Amino acid sequence: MSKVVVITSGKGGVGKTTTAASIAIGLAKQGHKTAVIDFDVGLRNLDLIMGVERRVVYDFVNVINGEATLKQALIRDKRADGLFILPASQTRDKESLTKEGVESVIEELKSEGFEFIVCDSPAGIEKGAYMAMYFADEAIVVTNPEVSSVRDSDRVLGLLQSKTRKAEQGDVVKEHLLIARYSPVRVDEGDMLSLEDILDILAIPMIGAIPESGSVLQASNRGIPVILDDKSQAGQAYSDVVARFLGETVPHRFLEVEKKGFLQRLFA
Amino acid sequence: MLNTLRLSISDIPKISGILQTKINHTAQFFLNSPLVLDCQDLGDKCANLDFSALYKVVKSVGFVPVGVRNVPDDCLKYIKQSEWAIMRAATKPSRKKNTGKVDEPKANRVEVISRPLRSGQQIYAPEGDVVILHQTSSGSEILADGSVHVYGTLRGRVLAGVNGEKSARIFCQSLQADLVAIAGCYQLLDDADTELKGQAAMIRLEAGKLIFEPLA
Amino acid sequence: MGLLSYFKKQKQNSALAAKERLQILIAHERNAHHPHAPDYLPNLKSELMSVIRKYIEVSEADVNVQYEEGHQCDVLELNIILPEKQD
Repeated sequence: MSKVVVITSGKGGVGKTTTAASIAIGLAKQGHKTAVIDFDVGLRNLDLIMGVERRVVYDFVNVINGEATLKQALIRDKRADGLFILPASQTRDKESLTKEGVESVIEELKSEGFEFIVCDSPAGIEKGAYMAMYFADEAIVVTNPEVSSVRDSDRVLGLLQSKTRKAEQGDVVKEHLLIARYSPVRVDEGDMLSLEDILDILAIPMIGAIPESGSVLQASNRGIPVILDDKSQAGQAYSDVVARFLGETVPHRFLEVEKKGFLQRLFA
Repeated sequence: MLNTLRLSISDIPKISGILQTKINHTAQFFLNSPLVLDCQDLGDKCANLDFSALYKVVKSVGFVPVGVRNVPDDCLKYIKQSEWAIMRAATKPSRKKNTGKVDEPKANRVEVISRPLRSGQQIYAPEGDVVILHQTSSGSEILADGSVHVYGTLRGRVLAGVNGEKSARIFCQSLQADLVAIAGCYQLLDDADTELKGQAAMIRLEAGKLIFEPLA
Repeated sequence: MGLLSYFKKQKQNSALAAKERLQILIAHERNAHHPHAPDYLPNLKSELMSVIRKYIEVSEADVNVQYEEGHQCDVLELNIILPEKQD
């Protein structure tokens, strides 16, 4: 059984692509054949975050238009067995994504035995975002602890339950909330929405919170998804998210203010 | 099914022709079904109408003639001389626009929503109530001709009695709406003088003012 | 302070890596927008089609236009599959 998972948020810059990259790697590392598709046609970024930008020959739109086969366009990840990346086209626009075209690519991936098809949605609620969510079975909604991000996520949650194939069939897209850029210190100081605040407003189950961390920036600088940095809190938090997504019960970490140790006080 | 024939002319042959055409279009549909005349548009011209002749015409095309309503008082005598019964309005004329179509039963329809209502989503329940079993979000909008019930936190905008029904009410588990309105009388919650923000509350309209009451 | 400078250096390294990657990428993408990029291929193909159709009956699928960037020169490859002769 294949599962289509959309990583979406409404607002831009909240960490969708970072999340898509890390979750895709995490799923593949757990032995699941996984494809991750960049739906941000015209502004592709997944290839950069995954560090495969120099290996892009054909893209998603080429496959939809029949200019390349799916096999030609899929980039095999060298760090995780069974992970393939389908980059977006940089020179076309979102109108190139047709429902039939997207469906045919997803169906072909399913028939090729991919267990997870991760769809990295563009920001906004335009065509690219609709196409990314339309065939989804599950959705990971990425939110930052910040008012506009929370409201946009709420809007997207509404669209997930009305503008998807599942919704049209009277079914429900399973929703997960992922809170990125979470800073327990700032929550403690009263300057950041807490997890409880966000969960109260959005009322969907939380699959994890990723602590704000410099390692995320370092990871994207290098093109190595942060989940591979198992020394960083963000990387470990993403690993936990993947485990929870696969049905394990893992306690949440990094949500409380850490007591500063001697060394940390020294460097502070 | 009670059919209404809304008269605007008093010329029997013409009415007969129109009725016949209607019947021909719909074959057996109207056969033996009751028919009421509505004289609202006819007014004083009622005096020119031969109700007995019309009775025969209505019967001949297959309807069962029942009665006449909205007859000006000074024309009642013409009806009394005919086979028609007089149907008096029991209450004030309904606010609903008479479309000349078949009247539907007036029971309230209830729209039940079992998912959270998200930002950007809008629910409209024409001629009925809305029941939401979940919370609603800031940026959502609920509209109902009747009342609105929210079994969760109410955020966003909520408009009850949008067609002017002043008896419509709003009920919620936790009042955090941006705007509430009943029958066009609206109030921003920020401007509302109530202690009930964040609490279970009922809102009703009294003398053109929104009244907030706790929901015990 | 050796330890501190070590951390500092590592940070710069990741920024440096980012800069280098972006330079390569953006140079490549600018190149792709050069007038000789395959962007004109669809138009070229449809115009070719109309010319070929004046003489031979071929379908869209039988005409294949490919563009390859070589080291010394670029190659434009045109493949037309002619219909089989009718008996």
